[in-house]
Amino acid sequence: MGLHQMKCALRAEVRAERNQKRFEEAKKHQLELQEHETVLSVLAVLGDESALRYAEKEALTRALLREHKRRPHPFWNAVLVVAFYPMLARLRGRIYGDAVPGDDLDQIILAAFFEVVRGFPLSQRRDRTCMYLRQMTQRQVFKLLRSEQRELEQMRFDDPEDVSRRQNDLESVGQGASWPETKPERGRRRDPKESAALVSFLVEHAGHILDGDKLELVVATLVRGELLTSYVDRIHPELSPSERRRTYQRIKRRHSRAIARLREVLAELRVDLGCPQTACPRSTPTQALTSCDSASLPLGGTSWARKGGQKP
Amino acid sequence: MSTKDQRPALTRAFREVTLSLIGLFELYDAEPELMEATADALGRVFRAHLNRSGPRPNDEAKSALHGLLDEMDSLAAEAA
Repeated sequence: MGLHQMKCALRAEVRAERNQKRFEEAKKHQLELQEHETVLSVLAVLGDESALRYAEKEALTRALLREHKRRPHPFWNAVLVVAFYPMLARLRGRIYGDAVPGDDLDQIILAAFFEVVRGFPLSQRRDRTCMYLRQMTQRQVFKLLRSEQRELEQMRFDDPEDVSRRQNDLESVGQGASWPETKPERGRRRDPKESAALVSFLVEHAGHILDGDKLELVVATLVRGELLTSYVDRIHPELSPSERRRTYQRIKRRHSRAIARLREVLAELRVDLGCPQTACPRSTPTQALTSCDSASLPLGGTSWARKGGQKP
Repeated sequence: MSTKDQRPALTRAFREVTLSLIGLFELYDAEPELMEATADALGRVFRAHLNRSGPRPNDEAKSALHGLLDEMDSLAAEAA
């Protein structure tokens, strides 16, 4: 619900008969309210920005804050939101950015205002109450927005493109989507012959989609089991930490794209272990490739092999 | 038409009515035209009862109703 809708929703609350009784009760404790028969005339004074009624406005604002502290009730929040709606709308109009969607931003502004109203230090701030209400609300809003921004930055660490691509991969694999994404086995050092066989398998079957840099990247991570961070450090030792972070993100995206393409190409080679004629022996490069896949190629009841189950 | 003794009470009553209408109109985001027409009608009744001449132009007021309110406040200050 936006600010204006909230104001409209509060009309009934402000005019409710039960709240007229609450207002009458408050008049016994707050002298400033005694001059007013209904809360509507209080709203009129609070909405007046002329210097003529500044003192009356100040006194009424303090009376409402005092009464809200004495007997907290949503009615007083409603009256204050309606009275300070122009200030809240101006504050809303000053905020740009994509950290928070529009309606959430309105809610943040209202929440900040309610918090300030609830904790307003009447004994410390003895004058310029409206000005302090505005300033404190503003500070509270920007504090909440900064916190939202920080959370958003953490969430954005994973590139949305990568997330979307992974989702598409899973959908395109179909049955493979149900395969568990297991952590690759580490620690086992592949012997040079096995590594060479894997590299030649990659070149033979995916050479057309892996240019020089991509092949080197895929071989480093899939065949040699090197971490992407180590790869970036090794390839670009001269970069500053911030440049290295950016380069890492770029290479990570390139790596994800290469793995996605590799899956598409190798998907044609997938065979079912249940069929002995097409099953691939455990020691084939493809089997070994999937078992050490640091980018989480699918593992499970189906293995990867060349068409016809031949060894590469 | 009011007597001299009735005027302060009558002014206070008119002031309260004007303030309530301003509050109501602001609550319901009333059209400025409606506020102006209300101020005109209410001002005529107010001046007739207090035997006053037409309104003095008030360009500083936020609206015609606020202008009427200023007029009432100045009258109350004169009486005091």
